Amino acid sequence: MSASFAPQCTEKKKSYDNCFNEWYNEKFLKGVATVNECEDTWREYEECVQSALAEKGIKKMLDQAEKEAPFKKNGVLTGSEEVSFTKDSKN
Amino acid sequence: MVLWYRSEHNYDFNFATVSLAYFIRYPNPFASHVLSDDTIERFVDAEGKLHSTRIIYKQGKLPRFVRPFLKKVGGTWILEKSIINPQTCEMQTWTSNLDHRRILQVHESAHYKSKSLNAPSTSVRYDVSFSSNFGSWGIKDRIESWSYTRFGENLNKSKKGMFFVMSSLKEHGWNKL
Repeated sequence: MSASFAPQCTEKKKSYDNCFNEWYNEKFLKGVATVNECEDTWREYEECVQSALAEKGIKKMLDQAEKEAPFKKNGVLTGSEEVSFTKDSKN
Repeated sequence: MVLWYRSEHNYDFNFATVSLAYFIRYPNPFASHVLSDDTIERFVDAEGKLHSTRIIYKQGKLPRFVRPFLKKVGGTWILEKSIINPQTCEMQTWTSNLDHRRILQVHESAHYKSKSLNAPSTSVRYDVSFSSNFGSWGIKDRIESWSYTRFGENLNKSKKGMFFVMSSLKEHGWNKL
């Protein structure tokens, strides 16, 4: 399992990933559950990652990329056959 | 100018294995330049599709001739989005670099599809575009064709990585990795 970019979050990431992989494989794919059962591990991991993202200034970069994201069409991820890649006209 | 690359491939693994392998494909021996991956958003929508957003950090691989223009040559952040529909056995993924976007934007989307959850193979189509807004036309073209040329070998490596992870999954199961 790979590390988190923030070393202090790696253990939390591992707990969450373990939970997610089991849920994905045993429940989600089989249609047994659509509710994510990994809330507890997720909350701890997310909190850790979000504060590390803010600290490192990555959030700004993320927001910018989301804004110009060519993969979104009415807020929905489009299939590759529908995606029209537009070139950034700035600069 | 924007350069395009399309490639199709067939994995001899079922959809369950391929889609899970996508999430756990790092680390693998063919991706030693990938240092981390983190999930920053995940939810199941009203139609039962799983949406994930992840960020991946890779050791930088920009062409030598643009290095003088960079403040520092570090790694590259990649944004990855995916949507999985377990009913139709389809997975749509999308990635793009988060930094150095003025120099080069690489958008890669992939569409995975299988006939059923346990059908023995899954097909995938990759669509990739390269575009640069950097400096003069000469440098732009060089950057775009440099990336395009590299992409074939990179895609090959990432297929090998996926194959490695899928084989271990098939042999050992997800909980032994």
